[in-house]
Amino acid sequence: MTSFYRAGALLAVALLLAALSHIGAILLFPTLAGTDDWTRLASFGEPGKFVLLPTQPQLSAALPRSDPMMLMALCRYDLDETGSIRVSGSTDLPYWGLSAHNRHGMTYYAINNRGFGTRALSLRVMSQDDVLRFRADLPEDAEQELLVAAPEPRGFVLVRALIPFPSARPRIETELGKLSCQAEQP
Amino acid sequence: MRRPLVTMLTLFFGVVLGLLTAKAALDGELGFSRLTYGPWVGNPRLGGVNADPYTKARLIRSGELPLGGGEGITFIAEQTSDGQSLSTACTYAIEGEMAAARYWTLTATTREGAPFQNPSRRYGFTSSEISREPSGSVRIALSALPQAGNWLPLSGAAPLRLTLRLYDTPLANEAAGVEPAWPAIRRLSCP
Repeated sequence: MTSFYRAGALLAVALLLAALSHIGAILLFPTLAGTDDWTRLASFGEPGKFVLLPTQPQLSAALPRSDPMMLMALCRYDLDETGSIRVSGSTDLPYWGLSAHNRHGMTYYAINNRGFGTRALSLRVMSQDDVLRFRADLPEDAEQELLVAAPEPRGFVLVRALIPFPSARPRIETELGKLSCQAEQP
Repeated sequence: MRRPLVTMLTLFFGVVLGLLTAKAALDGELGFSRLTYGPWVGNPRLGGVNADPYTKARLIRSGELPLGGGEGITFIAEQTSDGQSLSTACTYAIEGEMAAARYWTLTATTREGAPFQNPSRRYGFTSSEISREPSGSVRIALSALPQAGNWLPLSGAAPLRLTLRLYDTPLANEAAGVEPAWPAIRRLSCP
């Protein structure tokens, strides 16, 4: 009878441990993963400017499961070093989508070109405190700008531009190249 | 002499079981809040900063950057509308109305999401380049042999995944409420 209870207790302990290690592994994964997207994408260029990402099949190796019919430009930033970054430019693209990611690649902001109409794109990424400071003393030419608060200093901005048909690729590349991503001291 | 051994084995298997279930949970791709329309499955909340810990770990593991809610939504299909598994050896037709979106793209890839390399660099179609039926509906043929109309070339005999990306769509904000229109996937022939 005692051995029966003993087996039961061991089983309970094993299941409890299983649950704990399962939850622990999932929650600690981002910390234990060793590298993050910010570091992983460093090979595509320095922070503070747009870099056109390679096309297929190299793209699949860098960013798996991305749309082959999209051209992508990446701008990494480190707000601790640059203060804020400004994404701006006037482009004639059928569709673009801009997303801002933290250093693990999680999206904290996303918008597409419908929100801009014919206006030029103008957007600043800065820390929460800087957003408040910037709003309090808004320069006159910045009234139309989008202010995006970044949850942590490091991250990146990704712009995806649709290539509506294959022959449009060179034009889309030129138009996407008109976007700039600059460090601005606040 | 036997007791410590049994206890240690129990602890060991407990931890191993926990880690194995964690890995199994990360092998799935789409997370918990899924939308299913016919053969198409998507998750409008994939990849946000407030995603659940499983989704976060999964995305960090794969390196994928999913579309944000303001951009669009991705749907994948690995089966026909009748529930048969998709393979590049067969001939399929994708037919019907597309869900409301400013632009969409449809791509054929491996189950891991890598496009099939082909000489014409035809990985899929965008809504701009497709030729439509008189009724406005869409018909795309997928096969190894050339077909009239919208033809997406397939080759080999590998498991196939279709990815439908809707850009600038009301669905991405889960505000739809009504069942949108979806193209059906039919298997025409299979060797």
